[in-house]
Amino acid sequence: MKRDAREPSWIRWWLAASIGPELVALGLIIALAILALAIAR
Amino acid sequence: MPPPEERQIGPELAVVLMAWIAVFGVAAWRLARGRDRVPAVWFAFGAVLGPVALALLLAALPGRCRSCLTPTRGWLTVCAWCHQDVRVVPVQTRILLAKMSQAPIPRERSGAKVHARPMENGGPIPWRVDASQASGFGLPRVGGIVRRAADRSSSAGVGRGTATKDTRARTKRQTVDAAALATATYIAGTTDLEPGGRYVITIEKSRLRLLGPVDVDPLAVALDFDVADMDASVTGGRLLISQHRDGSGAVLAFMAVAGMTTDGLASTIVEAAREAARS
Repeated sequence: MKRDAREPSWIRWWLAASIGPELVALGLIIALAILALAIAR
Repeated sequence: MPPPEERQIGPELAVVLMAWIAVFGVAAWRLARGRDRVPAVWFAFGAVLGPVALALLLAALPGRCRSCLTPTRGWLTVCAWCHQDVRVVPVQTRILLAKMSQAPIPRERSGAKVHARPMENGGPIPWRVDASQASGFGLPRVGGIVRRAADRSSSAGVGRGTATKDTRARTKRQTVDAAALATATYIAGTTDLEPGGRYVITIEKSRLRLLGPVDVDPLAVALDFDVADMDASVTGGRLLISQHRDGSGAVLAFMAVAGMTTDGLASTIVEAAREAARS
């Protein structure tokens, strides 16, 4: 079966399905914490 | 070597911090609730990230599909269950809910207590569809339920096809007075209802009827049972409706019940079955 050209690749689909807004927020908090630790030193 | 100075948070900074947490935490809480996401988690995100959390929430998709209420996955806009756009409430569902929410809510029916739950749009629970409320569907002026000619030949209702555009054209309309208890999404079962389709569940006199799918024809009778034969239970938040027969009865599983709680709907069906069996 021919794939639709507009269909995202499986890796893009997997990333879109796996990384929700909660995970993005968590990632930002971890990045902030690392940054704060680096500045504090 | 001198001891390190202890850093202390001044009163002004403490006030600013508290205000930050209160303002952005509560804003994120409220926004998350409106988007079907976990408010407590987003309160924490809002308290730490501030406006960034709000921007994330605004960009995020709803936590549940607006068509079938299945939890959404990540940033995917297409529902994995019903393949609809998770952000859009189908027009037919919106019209149906709006029409049904105008109906009066009886306190009790068939001796069973009805567990009322406000609809998402703030209206009361849908209860009864009558002709005046159903006029938007192009229904007959009196009564309100459309029954397909094929469904009138027998009343067992197992194994019937679902309404399509073609069958709708051949539909013979028969008006009956029916109480619409709730709508629910069919998952699986021994009948040939459309999995993922949303159906209206009604009890009228001694008949339990399933109308729909609502996006095709919300008033077409898809299945019709004698309510005295029926049993209902809730397992894992899913509604199971079964027919008392030795191994040959229909079994239907539904999710995303709207209009009543799943427990309330099950108990209403059970009470109606008991009452029908007594009379």
